[in-house]
Amino acid sequence: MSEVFQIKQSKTILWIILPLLLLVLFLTNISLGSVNIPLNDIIDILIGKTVEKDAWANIILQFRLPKAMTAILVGAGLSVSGLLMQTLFRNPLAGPFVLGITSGASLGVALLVLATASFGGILTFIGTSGNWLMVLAASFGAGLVLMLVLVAATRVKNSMTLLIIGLMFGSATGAIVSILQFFSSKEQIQSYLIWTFGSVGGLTWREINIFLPIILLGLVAAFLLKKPLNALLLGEEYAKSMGVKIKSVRFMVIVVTSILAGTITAFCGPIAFIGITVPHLCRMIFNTSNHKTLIIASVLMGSIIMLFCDIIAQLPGSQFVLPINAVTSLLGAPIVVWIILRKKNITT
Amino acid sequence: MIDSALLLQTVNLSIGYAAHQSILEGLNLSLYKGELVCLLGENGIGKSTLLKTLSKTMPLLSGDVSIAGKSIRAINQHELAKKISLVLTGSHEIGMMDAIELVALGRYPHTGWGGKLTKRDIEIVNNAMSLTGIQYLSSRKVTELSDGQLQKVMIARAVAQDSDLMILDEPTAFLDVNNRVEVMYMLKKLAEDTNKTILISTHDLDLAFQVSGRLWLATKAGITTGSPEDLILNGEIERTFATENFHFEKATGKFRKTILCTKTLNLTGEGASYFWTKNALERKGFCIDSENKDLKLKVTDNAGNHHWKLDIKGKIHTFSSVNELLVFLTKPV
Repeated sequence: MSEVFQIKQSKTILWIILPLLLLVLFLTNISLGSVNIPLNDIIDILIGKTVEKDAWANIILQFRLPKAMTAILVGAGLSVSGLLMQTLFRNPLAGPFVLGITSGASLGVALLVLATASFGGILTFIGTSGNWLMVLAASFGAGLVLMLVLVAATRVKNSMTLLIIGLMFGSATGAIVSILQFFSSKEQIQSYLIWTFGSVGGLTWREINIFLPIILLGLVAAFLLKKPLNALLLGEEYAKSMGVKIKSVRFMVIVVTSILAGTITAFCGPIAFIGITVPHLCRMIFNTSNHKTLIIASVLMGSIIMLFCDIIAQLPGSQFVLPINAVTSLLGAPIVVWIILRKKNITT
Repeated sequence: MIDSALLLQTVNLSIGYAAHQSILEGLNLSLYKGELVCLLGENGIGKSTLLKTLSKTMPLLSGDVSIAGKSIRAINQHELAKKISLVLTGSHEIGMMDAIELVALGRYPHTGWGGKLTKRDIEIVNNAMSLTGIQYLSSRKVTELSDGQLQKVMIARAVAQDSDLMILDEPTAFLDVNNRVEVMYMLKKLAEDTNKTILISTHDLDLAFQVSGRLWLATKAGITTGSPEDLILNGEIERTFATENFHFEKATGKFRKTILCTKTLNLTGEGASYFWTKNALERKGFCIDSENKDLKLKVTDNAGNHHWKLDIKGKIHTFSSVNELLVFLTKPV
């Protein structure tokens, strides 16, 4: 009784299982690949010991580890931003993409692809920095839509209205992307499509040095918002009557979500369903809407699911790698349907 | 009432959604410590607007509202939450949490950034639950509660908020009769036990007359205040609510359809049997007229055995139920 907002005793087992599962999936994730490296060597490499084959260390440290870390950051970031959106909009189907942030990023990338074509395929000449251009374009597009949504947020009182405005921005930018595609060549559409497949494997350490602190900052900021988020569960009127400064909280939530989802989309492309699905899974297994529990659980669960999706995407034992966005959608969509059917309704 | 017990006061308050279309103007109202006041009035008269304005959910158009001597214009949302708590009609989705967690949310304005509860907070939460009689719901999920239980939990949350004034906007609107009575009497007891001031808007006139020490009666002309009995006896209630088709019976405190007397009847009897016989007769269009010598009805109650004796110009008929009587009276001649 004295631990009202403390995590329940009966859930202790989950707090042991989830981190263990995360560790197991992390090790599985980095031990899979076209080159077979024994697990004890992987662990040696990770803890800084030298192993007999330099190439192994190179593969693990330069390729697999950044990829697994990216997967964890993407899973954690998208899940937490989904959770925040669902609470802010009191809508179980809200996600980081509903505000139009992904569509904005897509627009940036589509414009970039079209522009480079006009200048005679600059992308092919600038080589690796093309990757950075993509990130910049996506960030710019996401940021633009974010600014518009923020302007709207200062004018509209109602979160539901804001949600619809976000959807409209998303639809509008989506439509512009379609028009751009219509006037684009096969090659342009192809390179745009490849970006929309999403990827957690494209980041180098230099990029992770930027990616990691931004996502960590977003996650910490989300955790600091847990008290007003809990009050928001009762609706804006009740929250306000209990002393929540609605406007500033709403602003903070939108900024945190946009930073998380915008950065992830910029670096890794659109990755669907993680933001919607993971918070529901966490609510279900922890049987609570308390954000103190849900934020930590979403970080763990999001990382686990993203690592798992990445393992599936690599099609262990084959030469192919599936688009990560397709895997998350194929796994996520049925989970959402299953949750709805099982619970008859879903709640925030 | 002595002045030191004054809690909330409005001075020339105008309320509404925009300056040029105020709904009610020049309101000078006051609330005293520990009293329960019911705000009555027709739909659309501005009850909700008034409550929202008093709780600063909506801006004041002009005039001022002060609580504990301080203008609410000068109090920020966080400080105001320590002075005024709110309960709404409710019945919307509120996520998955235990009843006690919801009640504990009431401590919001008193806790730090993380919302961590101190020993004292937990004491207050438990006390709020016992005052509202919901300890037994403590570990139940709010999604599993009935409307009545959930509303009590919401009220307990407002109690835990530990404000001087509790404002409830039609808290019983979605509840069944039992729960309405229970919730209203619970609020009355709360005001008595905790010396908190409670302001309730409601359409339950009956219950408002039973529980409130004073009424705020909202009409287009403004808000009249007074004890329920005074407002009934001086005809204010009747003027506020009566229409062409319905009138207010001062004797019973009930609204009745104004009946067209097609027939009259001389009814004698006592107590409940008299009351319900009259009720049945009026429903069938009979007015009670003690001058009628041709049609006389006497109802007698012998320890629960009721008999009706009908005297039509000296010819006697007896009945053992109201239904038999009505069948006979309404039979085509």
